[in-house]
Amino acid sequence: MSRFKTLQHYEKVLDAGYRLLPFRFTQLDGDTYVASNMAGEFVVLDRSKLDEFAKFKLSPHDPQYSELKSKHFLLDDDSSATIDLLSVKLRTKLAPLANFTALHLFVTTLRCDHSCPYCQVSRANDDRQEFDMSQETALKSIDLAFRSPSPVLKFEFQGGESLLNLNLIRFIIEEVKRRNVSEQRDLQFVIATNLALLSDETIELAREHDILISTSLDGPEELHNRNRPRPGNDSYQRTIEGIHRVRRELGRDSVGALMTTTAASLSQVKAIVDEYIAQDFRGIFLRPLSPYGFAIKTKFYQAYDQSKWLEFYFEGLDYIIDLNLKGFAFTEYYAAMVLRKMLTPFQPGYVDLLSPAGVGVAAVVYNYDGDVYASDESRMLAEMGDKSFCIGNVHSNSYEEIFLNDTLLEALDSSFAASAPMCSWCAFEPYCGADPVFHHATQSDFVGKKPLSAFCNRNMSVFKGLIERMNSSPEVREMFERWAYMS
Amino acid sequence: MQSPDADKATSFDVAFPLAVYSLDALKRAAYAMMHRISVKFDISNEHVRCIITPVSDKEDAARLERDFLREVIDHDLRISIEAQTEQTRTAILGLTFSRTGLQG
Repeated sequence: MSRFKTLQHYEKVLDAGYRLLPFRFTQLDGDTYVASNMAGEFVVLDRSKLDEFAKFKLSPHDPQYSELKSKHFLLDDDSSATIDLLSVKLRTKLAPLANFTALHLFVTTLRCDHSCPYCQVSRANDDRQEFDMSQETALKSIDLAFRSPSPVLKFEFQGGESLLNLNLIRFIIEEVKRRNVSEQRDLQFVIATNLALLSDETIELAREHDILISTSLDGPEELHNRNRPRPGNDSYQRTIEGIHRVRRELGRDSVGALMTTTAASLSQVKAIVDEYIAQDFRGIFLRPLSPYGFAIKTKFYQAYDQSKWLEFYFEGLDYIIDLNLKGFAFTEYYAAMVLRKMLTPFQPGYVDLLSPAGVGVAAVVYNYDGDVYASDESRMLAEMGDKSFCIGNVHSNSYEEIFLNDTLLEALDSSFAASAPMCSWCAFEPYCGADPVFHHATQSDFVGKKPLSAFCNRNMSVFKGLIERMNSSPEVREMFERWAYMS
Repeated sequence: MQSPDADKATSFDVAFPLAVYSLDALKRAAYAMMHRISVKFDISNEHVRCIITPVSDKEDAARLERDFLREVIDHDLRISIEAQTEQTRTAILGLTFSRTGLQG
C-alpha cells in the first residue's frame, strides 16, 4: 500500500468546488481591488478575478486560488480546520478587550508656560492654581484606576504642562506603588511634558520610578518655535536640551517625542523627518491636527484640508521608505500601527483605531477638577463647552456609574464599525476604528456619515496607500513586515 | 438611459431593472456617494429610476453615472456574498466568543 494518496485524489478534492468564507472588498484604484476576511488578512486582486471567485468560477489551478485558500477566503474539501483557525485569529485580535482600561491619564494641571495657538486642550495661564488637581481628587482617581481588571496599568500625567504640578505627580506615583504591593499589577508611568521646566527633581523622580518622558517636537527650530510660543521664544532650545539631558541621565529610550502638523508644517515634511533623525530618534509619528480646543478657536484646524495632510503624510512616508531602502532604519509609527493590524494577528491599543471604540475601554482621563472623560479628545471637547463625553466625577460617582454611563455605552454600541453604515461592507474595517468623539465633534453624531467624514477619508487613504506600496515592491513589503512586528 | 430633469438643470436619471439589481444595492451606492450626489428613487413594478443630483456643479455627469453604476454593481456582489456567507460568519463569531467567561 502506498504511503501517500495519489495525485488524482487531490485533484478530485479540488474539482469538487469551493465555498466562500465571509469577506469584504473595496476598490483600491481602477480595476484593482482589495479583499479582506474577518481577521483582517487581505488579498489584492483585479475586479474580473474577484467576480470569478465570488461566482465560483475560479480554477483551483489559478495561482490566486492558493492565496485565497491560505488566507481563509474559501473552503474546499481539503481545508477542514479553516473555520476554527479564523475564530482563533479573530479571538486573538479581540483579546485585549477583556483587559478593559489599561491607560489612565491624569490631568495634573491645565496651567502651561506655552501658548500654542493649536493647543488641543485649551490651557490656562501658568499662575492660576485653581486649575491644579488636588490630592483628594488624585486619591479618588487612583481608587478608580485600580478597579480596572487590566493586569497592566499605565499612568500618564498630562497638562497643560504637567511638571507645573510635580509634587502631585510624586504623590500619585508613591500612592500607586504603595497600593500595588497588594495589587501586584504591572505598572508603567509616563510624564507628558514640553521639557521647558525640566529640573533635577524631575530627573530624580523619573530615575527612581522608571518614568518615561513624552515630549513635543514639531520639527526644525523655526517651525517648532512658531508653533509653540513661550516667553523668550526658546521652546525648541529647551526641548532639545531636555531630550539630551533625559537621555544622558536616564538612558536613550527614556524619552519619546510627538509632532503636530500645522499649515506651516505642510511644505516641510522632509525637514521635520530630518530633525527627528538629527535628534537621534528612531522614528516619527506624522500626526494630523485634531478638531478640538484652541485649534478650532484659532482656526488652525481649518487652515489645511485633508488632501493637503495626505500629501504631507505620503511625501513623508515615501521619504522614510527611501531612507530604509538605502539602509537607514527609521519608522513612521502610524503606518507601523496600521501594519500591525494588517499583517499580524495582534491589535495595537491606539484609541483612535479601535472598534469597539477605545473611549473608556482603552483609556480614561481624570481631569484636574475630578471630572472623568472617556478619552483625551473627550476632555478637549469639554474644554470647548461640550461635556457629552464627561462620564462622571470621581467625587460623586462610583466606578459602575462611570463605566456604565449611558452616553458611553450608547457611543460604544452605536459606533461599532462592523455594524455601521459603509464600515460594515468596507474591506478596511478590520484595521479601522470607530471614533465616536470625532464624529460627534464634527457631525453631531456618534456614528457619522462616513462619506463625509475626514476620519474615514484619512484612514481609507492611508490603508490604500500602504497596501499599494507593499503590493508594488517586495522590498517595501519586507520592510513593512518588520515595522508590523516591532511593537 | 440619461435624461435631463425638468426641475433641476443639473439632475439626470438612470433606470435600473429590479430583475437585475436589488434596491438595497442602489441605496447603498447612493449612501456611499453622498459626498458627490444626492439620489431620489422612483420605484415602479419593474424598474427603479434614480434621479441623481450632483453636489457640486464641477462634477461631470457621465463620470458620476459611471461611478454610480460601478458602486451599484459592487454592492450587488457584496450583498450576494453576504447572503451566501452569513451562516458561516455567525458560526465563526460563535466560536470566537465561546468559552470567554463573558456569558454569565
